[in-house]
Amino acid sequence: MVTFEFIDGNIGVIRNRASPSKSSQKRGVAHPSSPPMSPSWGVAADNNDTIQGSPSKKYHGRRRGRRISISAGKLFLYMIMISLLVATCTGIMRHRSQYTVPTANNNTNTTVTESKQVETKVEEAKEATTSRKLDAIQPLKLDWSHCKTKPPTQKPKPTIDKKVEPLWLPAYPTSIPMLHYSELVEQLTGVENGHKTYYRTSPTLKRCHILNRDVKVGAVTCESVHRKYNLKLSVCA
Amino acid sequence: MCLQVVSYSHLYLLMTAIVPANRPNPAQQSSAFGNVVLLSLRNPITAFPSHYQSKAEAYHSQVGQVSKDNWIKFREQYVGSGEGLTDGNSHLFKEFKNFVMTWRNMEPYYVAEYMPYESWADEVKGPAMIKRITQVLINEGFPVRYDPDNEDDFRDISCLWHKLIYLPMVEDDKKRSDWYESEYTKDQLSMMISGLEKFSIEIADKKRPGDEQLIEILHEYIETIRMKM
Repeated sequence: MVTFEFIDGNIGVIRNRASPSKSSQKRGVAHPSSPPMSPSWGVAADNNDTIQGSPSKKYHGRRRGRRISISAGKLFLYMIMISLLVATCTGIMRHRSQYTVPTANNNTNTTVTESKQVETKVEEAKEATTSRKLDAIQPLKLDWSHCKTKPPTQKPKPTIDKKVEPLWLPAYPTSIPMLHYSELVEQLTGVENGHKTYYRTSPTLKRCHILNRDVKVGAVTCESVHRKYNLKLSVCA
Repeated sequence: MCLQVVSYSHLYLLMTAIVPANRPNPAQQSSAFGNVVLLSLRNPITAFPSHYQSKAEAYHSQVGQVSKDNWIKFREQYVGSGEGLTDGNSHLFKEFKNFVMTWRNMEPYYVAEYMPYESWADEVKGPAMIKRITQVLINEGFPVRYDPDNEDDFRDISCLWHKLIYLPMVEDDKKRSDWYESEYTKDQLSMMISGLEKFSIEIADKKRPGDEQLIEILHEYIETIRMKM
């Protein structure tokens, strides 16, 4: 029967439990009087009576030394149990780290749950790696050098016969590059301040229309930003 | 008890809520406006944080990007959160959809061109969109300097895009180079995807002018959001 022998931290293999191991026997005979290097062995090594015992006793060289024999089957069983324990602990830790949102059906302590949820998400977002920004401007792939060498020709403003009303330009908030767009409209049409905002009012301007002046084109586009905010008034005691 | 009114604009809104002004809606002003509409929209995934940022700058003197904590709080409150989140109960998504749908369906107008924000910065889509806008302006009788069908004029239009739109946008973008990316939870991303899918199906049934373009834009938005899942 194969057993493993633990002797003060050292391990030895014993083929047959009834007889001492060949290695210990050999070592015991070959070096009967030479104690191991460890200082703890020195006490037993000084005792000559113990050296003259059985080969294994000679090798161990002391009476007080711990001697534990475990069969291969038991060792294997222990290893499985330790592995299971480690796996369970790891699983619990992973589960805890992934467990962010408490159960939605839990009606009690809803506000606490919600605040915890927000806090957890704040932490998640903090830890999240920042990838390429979605609204980042992409570099140009085409050759645009011709725009520098030969810039757009300034054409005269064309004349029109009849009055033209502005076009609605409803814009979801921040969906239009405002300043740049205004200049573009001016360049395309030659109408000064061709892009107007519906909400901007002055003594000479109302709802994108120039007052008291007979102009053919008062505005090209009239921007109406969607501004339906929920006005949240905080009332405190 | 105290009442916090954040700014004068909020005070104005409060007063108009108490004494509702008889403000004409766009449909009632059709005689003072052209028949066609140019509708500007943006992918909700970037529009929501950008909207929040612009509000913070306009009404709360925000300098630099809003804090990540504040963005997340705003997102949880207005985009919505939790397992029961749908496009129907997400405040901001509903608002986005209503905005597009209101103008899409508004009589006697029709949308002649949808102008997605994303196209402005694209070197192919940007000039092409300006070309289409130019054509709309010509059709509506506005004075236009460039003939979009003329090759030389289109080259000029493209250069105008490069000079007036792209380069300033790049400059603006540089100022935000160290800004964090406003993120969403998976529930919120899923909600936006399913909401946009439903949206595209709804408009495919009704067939108003410009719907094909709108459906294409919505599908692009869906794909962009999917990449973030």
